Amino acid sequence: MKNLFLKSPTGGIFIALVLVCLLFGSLTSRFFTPMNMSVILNQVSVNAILAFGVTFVIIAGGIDLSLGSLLAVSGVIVALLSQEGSYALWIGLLLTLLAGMAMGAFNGALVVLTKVPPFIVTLGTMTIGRGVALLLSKGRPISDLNESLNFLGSGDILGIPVPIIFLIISFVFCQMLLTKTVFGRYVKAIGGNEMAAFVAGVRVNRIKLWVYVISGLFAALAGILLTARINTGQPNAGLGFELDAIAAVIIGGTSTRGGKGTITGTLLGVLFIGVINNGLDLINVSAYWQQVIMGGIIILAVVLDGLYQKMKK
Amino acid sequence: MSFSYSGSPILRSVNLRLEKAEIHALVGENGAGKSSLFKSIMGIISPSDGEIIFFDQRIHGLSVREILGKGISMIHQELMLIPELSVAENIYLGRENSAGGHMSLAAIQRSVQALFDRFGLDIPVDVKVKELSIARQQIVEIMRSVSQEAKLILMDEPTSSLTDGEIQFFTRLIRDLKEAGVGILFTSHKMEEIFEFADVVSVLRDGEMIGTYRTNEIDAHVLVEKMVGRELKDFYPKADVEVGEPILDVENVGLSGVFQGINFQVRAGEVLGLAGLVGAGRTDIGQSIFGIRPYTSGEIRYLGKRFEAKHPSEALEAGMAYLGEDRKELGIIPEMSIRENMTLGLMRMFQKMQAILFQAEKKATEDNSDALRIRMAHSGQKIQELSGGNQQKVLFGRMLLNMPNLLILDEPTRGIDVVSKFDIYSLILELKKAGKGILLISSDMTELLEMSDRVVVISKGSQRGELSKQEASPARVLQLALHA
Repeated sequence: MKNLFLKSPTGGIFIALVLVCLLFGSLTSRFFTPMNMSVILNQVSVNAILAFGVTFVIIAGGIDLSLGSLLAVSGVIVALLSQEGSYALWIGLLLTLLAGMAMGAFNGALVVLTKVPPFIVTLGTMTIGRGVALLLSKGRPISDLNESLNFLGSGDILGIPVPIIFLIISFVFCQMLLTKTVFGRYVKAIGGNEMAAFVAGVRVNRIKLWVYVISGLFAALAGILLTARINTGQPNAGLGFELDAIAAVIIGGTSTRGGKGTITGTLLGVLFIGVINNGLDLINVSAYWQQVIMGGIIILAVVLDGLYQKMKK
Repeated sequence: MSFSYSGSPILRSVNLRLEKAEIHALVGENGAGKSSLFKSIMGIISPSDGEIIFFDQRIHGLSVREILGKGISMIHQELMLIPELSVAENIYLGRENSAGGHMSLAAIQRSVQALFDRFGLDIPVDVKVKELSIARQQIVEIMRSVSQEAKLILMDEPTSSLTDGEIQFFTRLIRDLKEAGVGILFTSHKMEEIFEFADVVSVLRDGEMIGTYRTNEIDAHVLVEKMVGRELKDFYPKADVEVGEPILDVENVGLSGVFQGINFQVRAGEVLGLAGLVGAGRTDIGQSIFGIRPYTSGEIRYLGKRFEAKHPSEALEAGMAYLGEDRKELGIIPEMSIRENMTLGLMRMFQKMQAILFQAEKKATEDNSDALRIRMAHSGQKIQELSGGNQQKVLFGRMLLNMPNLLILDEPTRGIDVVSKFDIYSLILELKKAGKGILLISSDMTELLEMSDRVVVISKGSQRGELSKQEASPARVLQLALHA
């Protein structure tokens, strides 16, 4: 059992997560309460859903910087479609998710067809997306939304907050997609050696297009949850969210060079960031210092994980 | 000398005797114990029993540093030079402050220049090492050993990254070292060089010393038999196979700017060789047929039907298989398992609605691995942990899974050990007997002529002629290949 644990690629981040939990638990009695645990999960749900989607992109050797903007566009779209007296909720949700996939496909098509590095492509679409969100909303927050949309953000089913249910469903879906399907296998193959995968007959361009579609889909889902939670479609929502999501993926042990990574690792990375934010809040560290500490911890986590991986060998 | 490591014996009672100024080759399959033997001599690992005597002194149990001091050094496959430092500084690295006090850079350069003059080397001593070719870097590393007054130099596959011209230069240097009284123990997979410059050759197999032979008293064939441990009728196995229907017809095919006017036929049960110099366009022809770089003119017929693959997956589905010339670049995904590498691109055989059928995949790859005699711990092992020969066999396993009618093999035995080579030749013969067509591209002239039934010679993107087995002599092929 010990051996199995040591061999796991997520062993390092798991230990780190346990350590920070113990640290905050010893600093304040308010940390280890069922209420606080639920708060953490609820808080991380948006970042988790973004991070799950972008994990596929990063494993395939790409990057998606447009996540935050796609989230904002989707948030505005779902708000527009869910205003009092407009369409039924499910139509709004479906169209928003499709819009997210379409925006992802736009990223993917540019990456595949132009051969411009994904970093540049998605840097461009990040700005385009923000502009589209402002255009669609005419630069103003969209309020007066359908009650049933708000339920997705702050309701609960059998005592479990709805965003946490979305988090769990997304986790299971992505985990299965990455480890149990041919698609997931080929995503890893492309990240590991794109030329070899192509020569072996893998439809490389098709798979690359799809990873951006998945990233767009989950950005849209995150946008829906955020809009539902704040009960407003905010064109400025999600600024910088892509960085938190990418940080979580990397802390979770996914290689920035592609080819390696797990959804479980990403979940642990998201929780790691979420626990630190929550813990620092509980012990009353100022928001400015929180950012400094967070940045330092991210670097430290990756350095320690590197050492840990070496130690295993 | 015996040596065991983590429970399982790696070397068993190995006896090896080296004379002064002797060039001694050490051969054996990957995993036969060559590197363990080297490491034992260098004191990196210590033998569980036995002893190592160097000029009447017991040296085992000494530290690596002490052994270096006795005059034994080792050249690793990956060179251990500092690219940003000059040639002279690299040679004196770590010894600038030795006995005679601090040496100035000028003094170091003078001393290195004197050393290079002695061996007639024209490498400038003041350029940065990173500006030298691999061959020259290797010479710098050897010179470092010489300047440390090494009496014995161990070299692990010294020629594996050298070009033919560089090997000649290297050979001369080795002979000069011998003249200067330095003994050399090296490993190699290349028969020609073993016979070209070794005085003596020792064979290791599964951790046991099979024997030591003078190179003028043994021939390559017998040597390979000693390595494999069984009798071989022919290192390039042959059999009379009846040639059947045409499988591939290439008619006036071209790829704009790369090659043009290529015409040949591959029939069932035959091997067609593509000969030519590196860069003549042979690799491109293979890649065009397979859809990696689709051809732009002419026509290809496959199994009688017009065939134009726009993507490798189309060629695979039509029943072709392809092996790229560079295993690391075009073949394996290093971080993935043996199993995942073997089924790459073929997952349509092991899926149900996108879901991977893990049991079926495992069974198919393990059956295949057994049939190909792949040496591995288990099929979930990362492919990068295997030797080159075994990695290549995994890629053959991938081709066989597709049940191909036509196999395009580009440099199928490059950089792999002799035994794996023999296994691959035997496999090619089996495929021939099973009525497959094989297009073989190889820069190893002997291999190409021995394995092919006919040879098409390519030069500068054009076809220079087709030779039957009887006509195809190395001289005739070269003459056509050099045709301007």
